[in-house]
Amino acid sequence: MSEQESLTTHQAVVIVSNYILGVGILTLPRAAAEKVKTPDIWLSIIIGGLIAMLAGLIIVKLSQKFPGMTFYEYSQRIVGKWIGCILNLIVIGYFIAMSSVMLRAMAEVNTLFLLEGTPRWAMIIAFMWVGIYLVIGGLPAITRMFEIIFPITVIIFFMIAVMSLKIFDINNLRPVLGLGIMPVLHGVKTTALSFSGFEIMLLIVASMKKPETAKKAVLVGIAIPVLFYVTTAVMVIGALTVEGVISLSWPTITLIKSFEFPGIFFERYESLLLVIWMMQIFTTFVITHYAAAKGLAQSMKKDMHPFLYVLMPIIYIVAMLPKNINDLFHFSDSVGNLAFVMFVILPIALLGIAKLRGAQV
Amino acid sequence: MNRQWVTWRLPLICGMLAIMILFTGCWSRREIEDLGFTIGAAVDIGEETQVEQEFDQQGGDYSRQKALTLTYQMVQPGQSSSISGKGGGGEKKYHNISVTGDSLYEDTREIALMQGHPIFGQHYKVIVISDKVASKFNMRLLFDFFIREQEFRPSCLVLICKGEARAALDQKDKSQFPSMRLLSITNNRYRSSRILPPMTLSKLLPEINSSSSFLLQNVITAEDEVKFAGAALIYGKTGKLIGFLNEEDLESINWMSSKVKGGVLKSYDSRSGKPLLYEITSMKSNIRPHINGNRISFDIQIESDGRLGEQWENGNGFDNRFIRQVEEETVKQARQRIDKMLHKVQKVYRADVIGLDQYVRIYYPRIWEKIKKDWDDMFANATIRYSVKVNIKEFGTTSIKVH
Repeated sequence: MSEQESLTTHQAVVIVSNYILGVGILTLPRAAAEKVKTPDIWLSIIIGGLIAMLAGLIIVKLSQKFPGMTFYEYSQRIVGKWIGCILNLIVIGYFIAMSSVMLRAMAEVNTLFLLEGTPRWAMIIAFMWVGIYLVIGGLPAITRMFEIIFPITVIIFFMIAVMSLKIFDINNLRPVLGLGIMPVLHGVKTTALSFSGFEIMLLIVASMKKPETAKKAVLVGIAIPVLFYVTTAVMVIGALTVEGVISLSWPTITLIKSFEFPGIFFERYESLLLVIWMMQIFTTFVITHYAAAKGLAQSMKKDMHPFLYVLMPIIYIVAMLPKNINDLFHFSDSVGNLAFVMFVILPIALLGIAKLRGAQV
Repeated sequence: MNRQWVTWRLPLICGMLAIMILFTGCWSRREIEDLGFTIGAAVDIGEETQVEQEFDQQGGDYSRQKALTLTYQMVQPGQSSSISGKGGGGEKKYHNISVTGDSLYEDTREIALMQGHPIFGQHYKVIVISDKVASKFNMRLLFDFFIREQEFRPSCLVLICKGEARAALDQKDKSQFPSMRLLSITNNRYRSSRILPPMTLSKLLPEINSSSSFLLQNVITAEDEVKFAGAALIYGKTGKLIGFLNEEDLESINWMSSKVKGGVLKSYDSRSGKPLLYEITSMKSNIRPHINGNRISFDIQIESDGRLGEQWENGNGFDNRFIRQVEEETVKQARQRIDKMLHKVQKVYRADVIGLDQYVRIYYPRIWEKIKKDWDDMFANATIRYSVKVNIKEFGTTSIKVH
């Protein structure tokens, strides 16, 4: 490996958390409320998180069987050259789709709330070039960037959460489990999908200094977004109620716009939220772009750099495919469904096959 | 080649820096001076202003039904930040502009034809709806525009005005903003219990979505002055205004739903008929619903701490017997008011605006799912038992002592 990639456990945690946190902060409360229809959304999120942790553990287990190898390298050793190649392509396709969804969501939110007159392509292209500047530095550069972004996100996010206590009413979150556990389970699929991102462990376990700590890394890496999402859901439902949230496209932004602190110089705190959200979108975009390019490079056993550039127009075109915001939401849902198949069912199957074939692998 | 790079490096870096500094900009930039900061809006039944009628005669008419008149309060550009010494206070800091039409959005954009600075809604404070509009249009349709448009702040306060709504956006003292005044009055809840907790757009949305009945603060105007006077009652099923509660009814509702931060309660001594005034320092209520088959009942305990604020009757505050007597009179008064209020909301309007539905939802979630559609009718037939307890903790610095 030409790049000197060795990640500490902390860095792995930061990568997983940053990747998971993304569009979900703004849309998860509504997506979950639509399914659950009771204030118990936060329970769904916790259960979803636990499922994600389980899936993450399976992926880690699989990766640990092949020390120093990424998914792209060991897939062919498990299921043979051709099937392995197809699997790699699907995974690469997934990363490209994910990357595109991030770009487009970023552009949509920006158009609506920040840059009314700026064309989407201008935002997306600027975003991509900054992204590629980072990705060229390889995993070490990406990791360092993530380590800078992460604490900023935590601080601003919890500051905003505390501020929104002003319009918080605990009665909106009661009763707990009033209609039993069934509504909660209805929402689990949606919430579990919002934790897609742990699949990056397919790639980064290979680069970890101590791959044996990867389990811990994936658990903590998912636990942090769980905390973020639960806080978001509790604050949003507590302030806007389930009935209110269902009809809001971007409930978290509405929440931040719903309170004012007279006397403090500026009023529009949603800009703070949008800043950290944009950074989280950026991290997700960068890591998926990297993962896709890395996949192409390793499948063809070539250098990664040319693939980074080749992917740019592809990601751009895919990002521009959804015709409107509903298309985008649907597209994002299908990508999520694909993630479920690829990263929950497939690893179990692969792990099974690898165990069966035992020594040959 | 290496040397070449070194010689070119400095100019290259300088060039890059120059590009970064000189070419940086915001595509969607709008100068703050060019924004028509709008801080309030009022919706009235369509009636064209003098100016509009003249515009129409001159050929400024367009296809529309004159259903609604939308009035925006705009901050006079350049005036908001100017020092007060300049105009001597006589200068108007705001101006109101009205447009009549059948689409609130079109009306808003029509202003771009009349003003150098189109509407900029990020600093919205208040929306006033006239009672005629509220009783004619469903709230869901009426507020669609205000809630949907991302430029308007969901923290915006919603008020009903009995009479012409735009009158509430005008005042004699032109050096202040009428919208701000309306907003500040809602901050006075620690001095009066006759103010509804602020109903913002973001709180309105769940009420509209769940088709529940609710109250909106009512404002009345007289000669460019305003007063918060009771509340307007919005009926859940129709989403329309069906009536008003007066100040005292509103106060009783606030007592019941522990939304009181302060205020006074005047009672009359039963023997002498002289006023006694109890000042509320805290008030809590405990609501417990009961469902037995089809019968719904509520047990409500209201408890308040406060002080004796004023007495027109001889009586010694240092004597606990007198204190007990005042407490009894206060409780009696409170019960009378609550009875009156309950009769009004249960029998006359048949709409649960007290917010008791919340408690049924919390305590009986499964039953609630079945009855929520007809909740207002169930509420009208519900039995409400309540108790009021008043504790006078002190009586200020003096007490009348008659020797």
